[in-house]
Amino acid sequence: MPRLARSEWYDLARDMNWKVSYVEESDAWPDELSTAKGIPMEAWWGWDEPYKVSYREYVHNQAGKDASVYAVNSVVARSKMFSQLDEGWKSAILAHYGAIAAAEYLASIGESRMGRFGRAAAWRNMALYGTLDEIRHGQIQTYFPYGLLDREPRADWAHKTFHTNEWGAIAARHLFDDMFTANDAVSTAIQLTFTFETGFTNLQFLGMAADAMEVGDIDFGALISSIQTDEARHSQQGEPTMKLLIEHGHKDYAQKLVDHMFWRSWHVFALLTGLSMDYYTPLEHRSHSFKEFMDEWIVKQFLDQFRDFGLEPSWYWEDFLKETNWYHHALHLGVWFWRPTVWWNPDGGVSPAEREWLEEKYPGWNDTFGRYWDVIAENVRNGRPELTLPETFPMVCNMCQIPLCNPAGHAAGHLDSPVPLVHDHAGRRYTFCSQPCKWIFEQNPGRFQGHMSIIDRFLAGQIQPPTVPGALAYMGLSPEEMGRDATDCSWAFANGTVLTRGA
Amino acid sequence: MTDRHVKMVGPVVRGMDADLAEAVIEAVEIDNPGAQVHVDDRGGYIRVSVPQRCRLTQTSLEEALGRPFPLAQLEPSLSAFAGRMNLTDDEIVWYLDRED
Repeated sequence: MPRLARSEWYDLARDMNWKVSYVEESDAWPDELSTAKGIPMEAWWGWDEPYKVSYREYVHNQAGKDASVYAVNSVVARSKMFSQLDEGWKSAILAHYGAIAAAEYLASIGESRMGRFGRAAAWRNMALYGTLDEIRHGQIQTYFPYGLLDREPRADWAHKTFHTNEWGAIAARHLFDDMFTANDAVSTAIQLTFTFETGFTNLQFLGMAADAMEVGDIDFGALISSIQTDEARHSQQGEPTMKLLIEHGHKDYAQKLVDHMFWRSWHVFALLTGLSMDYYTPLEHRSHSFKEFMDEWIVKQFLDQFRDFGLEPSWYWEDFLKETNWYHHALHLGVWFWRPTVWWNPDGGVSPAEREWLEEKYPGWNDTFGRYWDVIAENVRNGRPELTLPETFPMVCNMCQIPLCNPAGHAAGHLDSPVPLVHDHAGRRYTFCSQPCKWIFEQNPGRFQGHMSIIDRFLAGQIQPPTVPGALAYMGLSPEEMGRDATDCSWAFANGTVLTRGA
Repeated sequence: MTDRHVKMVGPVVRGMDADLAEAVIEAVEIDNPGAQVHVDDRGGYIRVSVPQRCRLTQTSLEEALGRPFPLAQLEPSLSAFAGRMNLTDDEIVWYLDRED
């Protein structure tokens, strides 16, 4: 190791900045990929990361992280742990691997774009680590489910999801293309690293790690909490980028980037983390409700942090807080009802004991969402499962690509109207679930107008035959892969106590 | 914002590394005299926090661990942190500046 303290050599080794002379600056850092906002190059050279690491330290740490996580995996792989896990929990981790694993590789594209088109050597250096981090996350989160294949063939959705037109895959691709595969370096720093990684990934990767330890899934708990140690570091590319924008009079621009991606992140995490925490995790092992985790990580921790830069809560903050009471409950109803369209087995998770918990965490749940489940449970008990399965499809939002559940939000008293928002642009009609989704579209219609939601494709005749089975085939779901209730609806027969899973 | 909650800052240590978390808690107590150190053990992670400003020095951490421990080696256990961060050779400070 060098004898000097890091601070004595770090800046010198890191700051390999020079004025280009053989090419124009605008050719070396095209605005489309880099975004200067008129800030002079020398000012970008003042970019200084708060979380410093040398390459030598980086490699040493990463090797140690992998050694410890793979060691846990190799021990657990020889045990019966996975087979003994709760069926609902298995669904949560299958949903996770499908939605996240390949997306990590995509994130490495965003990181490497900052590593090339960031306007300071210090930034490019951090982004190089970020690129390697995301490749690690892609590899490790495809390797772990690979080890589960003999027990759960659908673990291959860790690879498969992003190569299909399954509706959740379309939603995830739309979001991740917007956030990192098709984004410039500055926006990626604010939207991917600052908004998504400092804010939301903690929910899935640490909130679920807390639940994993309760459930006894140390494999998954070790994995995701280790991944988050990389995120904690490379997410710090947001702060110095934010500081420069604000110092040079672009606070409104930074605020808009945050407002845009905060809302989009919220919707996708409500879908993924919301359902996993409040319905799929076995009741006795839930450490917090989804709303309580949101309050801890987002409403307090993340809000404090972005306010510290002089930014303010987004214009839709009150609507966002309202949605934390109902949105994921509505999504759960929809995902469960359209369960053949997902690659995991949604756990209804509404036995009397679970409903009691839901009522305690979300007062009013029984009188609102509970009433739908009353009807569903009755149909199940009466031997009429066909009444609990879809014959058609819901409308999908042209921004978040998630089905609209406005009527459920309205019926629960949280939305003024059950009607979706409609917007006509360039001869085409777009449908949105919420004002922020519509606002994001209106800010930059050229970016989004050409995309067709799965329902647009259905109506345009791209999905043949235009039936539920035709659409399931289009989504890449064979009958063996289609979701069904995780516990054969044991919750519908439970009588005051939670039944043993699989009963 | 009308909500005037106390802003808490500090490290969130990976739950698999509970021994290190113990040492971090001890060191944070030494390095932030007079501050109330709040510990929230959620199994998968352990949140250590102090209002507004949380200091962690290499000296105190090594004392608590009873062995040498360069601060750069904290990373594999540092799953997240609340507040902003300033890392120097021998200490880390997590902080928030805004008063309201």
